[in-house]
Amino acid sequence: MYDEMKLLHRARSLDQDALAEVHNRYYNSIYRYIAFRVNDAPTAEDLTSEVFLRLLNALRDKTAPQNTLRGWLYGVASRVLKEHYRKKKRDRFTLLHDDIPSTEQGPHRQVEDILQNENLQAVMQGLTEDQQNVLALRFGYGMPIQEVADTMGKSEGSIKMLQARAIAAISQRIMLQGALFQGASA
Amino acid sequence: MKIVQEQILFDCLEQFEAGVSVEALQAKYPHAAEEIEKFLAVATHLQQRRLQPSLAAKQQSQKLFLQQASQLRSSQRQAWFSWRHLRRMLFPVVSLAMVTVLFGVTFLFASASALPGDLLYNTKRWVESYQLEQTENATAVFSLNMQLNQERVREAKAVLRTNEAVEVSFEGRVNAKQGSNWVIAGVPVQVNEQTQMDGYAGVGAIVLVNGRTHHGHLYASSITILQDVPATTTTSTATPTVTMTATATPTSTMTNTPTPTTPMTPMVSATPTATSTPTETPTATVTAVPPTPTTEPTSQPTAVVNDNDDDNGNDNHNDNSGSSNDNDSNDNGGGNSGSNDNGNDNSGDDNGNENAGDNNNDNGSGNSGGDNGNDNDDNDNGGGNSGSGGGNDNDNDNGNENDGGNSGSGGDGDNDNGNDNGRRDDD
Repeated sequence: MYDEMKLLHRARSLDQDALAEVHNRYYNSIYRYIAFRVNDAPTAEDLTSEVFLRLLNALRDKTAPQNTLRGWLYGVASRVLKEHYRKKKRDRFTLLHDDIPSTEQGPHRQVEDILQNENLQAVMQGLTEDQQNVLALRFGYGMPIQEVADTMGKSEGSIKMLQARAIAAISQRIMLQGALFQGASA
Repeated sequence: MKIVQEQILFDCLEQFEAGVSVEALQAKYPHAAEEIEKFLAVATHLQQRRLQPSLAAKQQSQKLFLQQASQLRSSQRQAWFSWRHLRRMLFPVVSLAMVTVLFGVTFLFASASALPGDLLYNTKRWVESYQLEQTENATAVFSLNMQLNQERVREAKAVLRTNEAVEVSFEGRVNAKQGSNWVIAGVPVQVNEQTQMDGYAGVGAIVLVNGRTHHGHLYASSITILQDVPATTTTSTATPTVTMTATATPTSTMTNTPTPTTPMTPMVSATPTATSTPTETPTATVTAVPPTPTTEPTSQPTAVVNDNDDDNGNDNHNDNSGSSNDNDSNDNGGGNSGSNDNGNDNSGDDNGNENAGDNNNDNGSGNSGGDNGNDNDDNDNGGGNSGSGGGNDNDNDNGNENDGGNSGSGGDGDNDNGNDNGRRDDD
């Protein structure tokens, strides 16, 4: 914490080394969080860059956080994502991939086949905002349950429940898709 | 597809994350084995899904980030003297100045009503002294001093109501004195032996009072005479106006003469010679003439031959707000025929709150308090009713009524002496 405060103090004076350190420390986490919720890597990269540029604006306007950047960057990334979705409203309804997985494979293989391609984002679109956030923070940003609860302002129990429901929803979607595939191949 | 209970999935996920194998969980919930397997397969996929950015993208992002920071830094240096920066710098100064002015104005307004002993009283006095310093015109200075002294008097009265013990100081005229109880500028003041006085302060004198309040009383520590009682009041005491009618009546004069105030009524000796010229009796004769004993011989012989019912209804309506009363002109109207000369000599009314001597003056209810200072000393009543052929029966009914209204400690009197000497000669 003390280290981060010192880093922020230097970053406020636009120290190049401090800013480079901030970028290195948080870029991957933010990218994964964003990539968990957008369709393609280039978009995730652009949006991640946008988050850091907004940090510069905040430093200029003296509205940057005083103690820790982690939660603040998540908030900015969440807003950037919302703006992105607003712009891409027309492309909201993404079709599931047409590749037909083999029905002779086990469940793991079926899940891999379905989620390996770009269908994960399409499946994610069917989740609630909170569920998407929990998955993105847990498996994208890499936060433990406790930190996700703090960041989202919820209890640990509700985060666990959100996570379980989100996974169950994806699982059901996959099973439904698998059933459809089975029907189609029969 | 079965709908598996949410609680089972929740439980499985927790145990799976804790290290329990999929098979063990399937054995635990055999009826939902397939759903649990796919559910945990999704969880595993999400956990193992490591979305890593490309190194090139990361480097590009960092380059852009630092470039923007550099531009921002240089623009901030250029904007050091910009209006925006200046405004940001001036804002706290201007705000502080405004708050200070606002606070100061509020402070001054609040101090205007402060009383001695209050926290803001010194500020109030400071503001007053500053006002005096800034005033150059002599008239304005005088006016301001008067105003400030009135404020001191108001403060003293207010402090007396609060029962607080504080030092007060003010100037004012001595309104009344009754033993140790004085009234100065309308403020009751206790004067005792500890009070330092630089002379005799009579009623009407203007004095500076320094004192201390205690339990609703003001105890004077010092009284400094600023302006003594005007000299006109002493001279007016010698003017014999009202008193003459009282001495002429045989009954009342006898009883009144022995009183200690007789030295103040020495006018009687003048009356034998002044019978025909009552109003002309000079004032200077007051002190030189011996007192009352001479009254008896002059009044006794008149009661025999002439039956003259003299009704000297003197109504002296003294509306004196000043310091001297000159009742010089008594008009003996009506049918005074023959040699009866009602020499009403109403001169020398000293408004000094003492009705002494041979005065049958009926100082009515208007003489209240210490402000009605009627000193009807020198009454020369009917001295002229002597010796006009013996057998004079002079029933002098001298009804003097001093209807008070003498406020203040003297002044220039407007005395309306309506003497109505209604005389009847029975002969």
